[in-house]
Amino acid sequence: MTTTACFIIVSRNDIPIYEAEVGSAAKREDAAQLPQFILQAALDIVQDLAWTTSAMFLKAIDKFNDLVVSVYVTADHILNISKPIHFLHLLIRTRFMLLLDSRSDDGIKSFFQEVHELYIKCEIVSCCNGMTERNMEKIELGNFQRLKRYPMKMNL
Amino acid sequence: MVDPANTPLGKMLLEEITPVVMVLCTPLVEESCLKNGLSFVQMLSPFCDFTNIDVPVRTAIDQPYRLHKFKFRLFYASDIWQPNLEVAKERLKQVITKAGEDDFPEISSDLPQVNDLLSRHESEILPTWFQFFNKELVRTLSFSDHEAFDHPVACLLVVSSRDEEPINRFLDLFNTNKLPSLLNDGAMDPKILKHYLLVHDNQDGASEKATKLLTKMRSTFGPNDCRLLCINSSQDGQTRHKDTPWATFRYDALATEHLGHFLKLDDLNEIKNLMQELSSKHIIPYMEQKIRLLNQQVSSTRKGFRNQFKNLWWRKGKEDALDTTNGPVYTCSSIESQIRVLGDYAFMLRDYELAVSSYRLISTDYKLDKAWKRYAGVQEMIGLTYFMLDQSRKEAEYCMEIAFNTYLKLGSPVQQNATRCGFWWIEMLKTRNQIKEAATVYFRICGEDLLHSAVMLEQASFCYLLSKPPMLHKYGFHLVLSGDHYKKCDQIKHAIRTYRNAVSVYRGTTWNLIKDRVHFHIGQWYASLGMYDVAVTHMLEILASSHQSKTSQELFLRDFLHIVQKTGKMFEVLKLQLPVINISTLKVIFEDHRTYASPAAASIKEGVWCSLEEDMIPSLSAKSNWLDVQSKRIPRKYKESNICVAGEAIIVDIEFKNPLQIPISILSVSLICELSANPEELNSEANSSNVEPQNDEYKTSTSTGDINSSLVLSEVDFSLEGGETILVQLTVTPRVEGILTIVGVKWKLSSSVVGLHNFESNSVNKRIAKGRKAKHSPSADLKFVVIKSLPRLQGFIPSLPEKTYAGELRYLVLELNNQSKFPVKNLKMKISNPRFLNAGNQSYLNVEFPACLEKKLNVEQSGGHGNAKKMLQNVFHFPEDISVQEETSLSWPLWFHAAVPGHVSLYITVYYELENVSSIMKFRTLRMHYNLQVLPSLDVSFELSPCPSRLEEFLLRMDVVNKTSSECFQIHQLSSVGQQWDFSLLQPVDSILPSQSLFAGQALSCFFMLKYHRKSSTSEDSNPLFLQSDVRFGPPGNSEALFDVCSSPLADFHGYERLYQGMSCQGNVDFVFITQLRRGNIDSGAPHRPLLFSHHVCHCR
Repeated sequence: MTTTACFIIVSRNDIPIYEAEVGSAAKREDAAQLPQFILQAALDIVQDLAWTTSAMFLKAIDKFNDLVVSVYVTADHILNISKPIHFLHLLIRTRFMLLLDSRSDDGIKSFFQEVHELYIKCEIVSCCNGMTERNMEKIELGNFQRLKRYPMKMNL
Repeated sequence: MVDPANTPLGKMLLEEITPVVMVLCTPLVEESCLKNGLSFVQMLSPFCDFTNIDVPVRTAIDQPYRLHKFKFRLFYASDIWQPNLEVAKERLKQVITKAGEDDFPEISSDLPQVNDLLSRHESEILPTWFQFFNKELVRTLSFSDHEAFDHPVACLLVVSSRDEEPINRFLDLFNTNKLPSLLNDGAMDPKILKHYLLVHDNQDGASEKATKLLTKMRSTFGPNDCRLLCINSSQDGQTRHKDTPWATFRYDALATEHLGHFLKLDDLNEIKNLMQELSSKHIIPYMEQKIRLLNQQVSSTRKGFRNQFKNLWWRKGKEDALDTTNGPVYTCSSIESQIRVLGDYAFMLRDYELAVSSYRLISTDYKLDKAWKRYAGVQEMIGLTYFMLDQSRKEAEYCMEIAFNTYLKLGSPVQQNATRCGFWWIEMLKTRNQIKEAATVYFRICGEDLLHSAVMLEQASFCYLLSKPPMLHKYGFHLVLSGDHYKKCDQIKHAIRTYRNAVSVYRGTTWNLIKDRVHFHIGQWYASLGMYDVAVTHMLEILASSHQSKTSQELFLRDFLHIVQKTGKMFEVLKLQLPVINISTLKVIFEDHRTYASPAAASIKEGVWCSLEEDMIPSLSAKSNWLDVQSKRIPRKYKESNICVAGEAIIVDIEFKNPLQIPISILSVSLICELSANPEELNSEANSSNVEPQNDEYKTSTSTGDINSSLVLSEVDFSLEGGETILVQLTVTPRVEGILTIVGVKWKLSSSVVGLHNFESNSVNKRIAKGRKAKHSPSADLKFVVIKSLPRLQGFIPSLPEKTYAGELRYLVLELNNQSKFPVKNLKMKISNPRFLNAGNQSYLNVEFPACLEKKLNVEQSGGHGNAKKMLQNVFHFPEDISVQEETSLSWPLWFHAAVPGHVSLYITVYYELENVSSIMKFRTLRMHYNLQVLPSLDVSFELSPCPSRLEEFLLRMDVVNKTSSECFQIHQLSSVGQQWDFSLLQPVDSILPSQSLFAGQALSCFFMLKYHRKSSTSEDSNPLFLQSDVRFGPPGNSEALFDVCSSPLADFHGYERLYQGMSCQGNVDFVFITQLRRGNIDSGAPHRPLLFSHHVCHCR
């Protein structure tokens, strides 16, 4: 079974900070930007939904043809921070967005939870190292390489 | 809640779902009408819409109500056919193409701003042609057989009074051969209301004949159904209608004022009366009656429990027999068709309650019969009726969705129906402010027809823009989708228009693939229209997209260059990102009174030089430098500027980086400089107001070729591999006095693309000006006051080794050149590390080395005497009579001694004064810098143990280890320096080291007898430090001279060694161990000569 999947982490100011093309389907050069378009457009829906639910995992919130967008929103509505704590503002309202052409909500949910854990670790490590700017390359070199395995696992 | 009839959908329905009147007329009638530029139907149409009538109507159950608004539509019988789909498509395409031409944005117009769009009203944002397009699209569906509201309610038969035998003509007109298929094939009841109209053209004469005809007609067709219409009362055709009622029927607006110029106001009033009478006295009562009749029939056959049960039973039995996709064929006499007609008539007469109950009744029948198209049509009408009733909103939308989905399931044959249903549904959602949902419906309307899909997607995008809060990402995405569809249909202008809007959404986005996509396509499309200038601006945005794949980068660059080439122009691009300039690496090296012998010297921190020159430059120590003295002469504006000298190059180092994975080649990289040459004006402070750069400044940016210009700029070409970074050195040489500003750098990416980058002055990393002023205004960093040409010394030390062994003693020569014709004088020199390098005496110039160090018989030890003083003050003064003239060089001997192993940096400053050349600059310094590496050679250590038996005798043990890996040292002599000591070898050297060669890694231990030799009477006048006794190693009879360790330079270096190895104190004994290296493996300036090594060990006791 061929799958296309694109995973993007979007920071709270809508900047993509991590991007991974995963999946077994051959990447088409002319449609390389399609996942970005779909996921960025889905941000609007996330914004709408975030007001209505306290759930972090928003399953299948948007779709384009047969591609389904699932989103995991990190704590924002849960933590009400009056003044930004050193690194906490990097952790909140980050959105993990996954574009998949197949649906298995449980798999996606556990994938998101693992990523969230990993993301927090990376953030804390980078903050402890005294980095003011998040250094995504470090994250990428580190644990995030493991990400590439997960979608595969999910489809099994 | 607004009255549903006043909503856009309500208005649309009241306009579209209205009774149809079929018109049958003779050619002569048409002829009369065409005199006015109008057809018969066109002439009457404006008067079919009644907004202010009052017709009493009764519902089927005798409830009275009044109709205040009414409209019917007139069609020629020949037009009552389902339009040909291909023709309709072609017409729609023309509509779109024309809209594309009209709506195409000006090149000069700015890109739309999203915020601007949001602040405007909906009607201003939406392109006006959408409405028209949608209407046209819906119109392609007219006269389908499964809906009754397009079926003619009445027939208007028109004959001209000029026709021969008008009565017969009337009969002939309603000839079944010419009637629409709807009437003929049984889809509708052919027995419809007929109305007979006689048209009389007043230009043909008086109307008596017509009146006669009318009475004849009345007797034939009935008194109420006949009318006479007189037109063209105006004889001259000069009638002008101010608000011509026909304007909306003619889109070309071709002199609409000429329409109807034979129609007088009386004519128009007559037409108006005719139509009003037709509607209120004939059509409405007819429909009312028909509704009553149909309702009766339906009630008798279908209402009531028994009938329903029967119907259900009957249909269940039929189920198996029917399996066609369109379901069964219903004729006009079938009860199903009649119910539908009942519903549609009720809807048109605004009896919505009756309409909805009829539709609901029929819908289950159609569902059971699997007549899906009819089922969808009925569901659609249920939805609309609910809407008009303004009740069960959920139900209304649900019905629309069912209808829409059912149409979609049926596929392409009913795609148009799905589209129309979608439109109505969308309008319904919009009315309820569910704009977001409306957008998804637009998205679902998109069918196989790309062009229609493009328009739908664009409309969807506007829905997202207009939703509250606006969904800009969705807006952008749908615009892009729409643009791509337009492009596939060759509607480039539409594609550009949508992409332009998308660009405004995606401006400054960090989603790089999106940005690239949008700019690349719009750039390409503009280029395909030949609008290369705009294309280039878009292509520039994506030129340095480092995240793209190699092939994309190649494509972007190739297309960009291709487009630029087509423009045939030279493009100067500010802040071109190809290559990227790393501005933090910008380094400016220039020379004012401080000059440098090499780039290496220039890169040394200013502080190092300052501390070295501290006691040499008088003005600095006196806290008044030449700048302060000259501050009156230089305007305050430039007081803090840097000074540079005409004819001397300013060097700028800057780093270029190729962000792409593909190699690029860069040509003609050079600095952009401005030189304002008016130093005279600058000198007078009174004129300082005139010194504004704009007034009397001229720009110069010339190439190296132009000798006569006031500036000489270097040009560099280079190529960069993918991702490569290169440090480029650029120079500018001002040739005349003035004020020089380095503005930026420029380069050529191809023959017609010039990249410019202006330096932001505050980011300049300036190394040089640190020592002079505490604060610099940032703008001054790249601004230079150019003063007139001055002498400049060049200096170098030819044979200073880069790598040597510890202990090496070498004779060097310092060469100083002066290129200018003015002499310099009062030379002084300071060396940072006198332990390693020392100025020698002029008398040593051109002597033989190392022979000059050999002990002579009549030794004058004068050199040694002054050394202690020299050591302290460090500054070496050249003799006062020495001056360096034009094209003569000064050579001065230097002594080098590699004292200790390690990396050593030598800093040498030569100070010189200029004679009467410049009032601004009195002196200059030449700074030289050398790095050298000293490797360990011999490790020499001494151990002194007192003789147990004699008080004044000591046993001296010397341990020497050759630490090199390959060298072989010839041991030569050991000398003691200090008080009167005599010492001798305990055993001959031959027995220890017959060859006298110490090979790599070899160790040697010698024992000496050291005896204190009291000779106090003679040593009164001589410095005890410089008394010497030697032991020569060598074969007996060796006549090689011993070296004199008590005279310069060995004595000098020994003095430094004493200083560094510890405090000087009497009673200690120092040793100097001298070896030679005959055939060194190490790089040296003079390979043929043996190298001399001296190792100094001090304070051995």
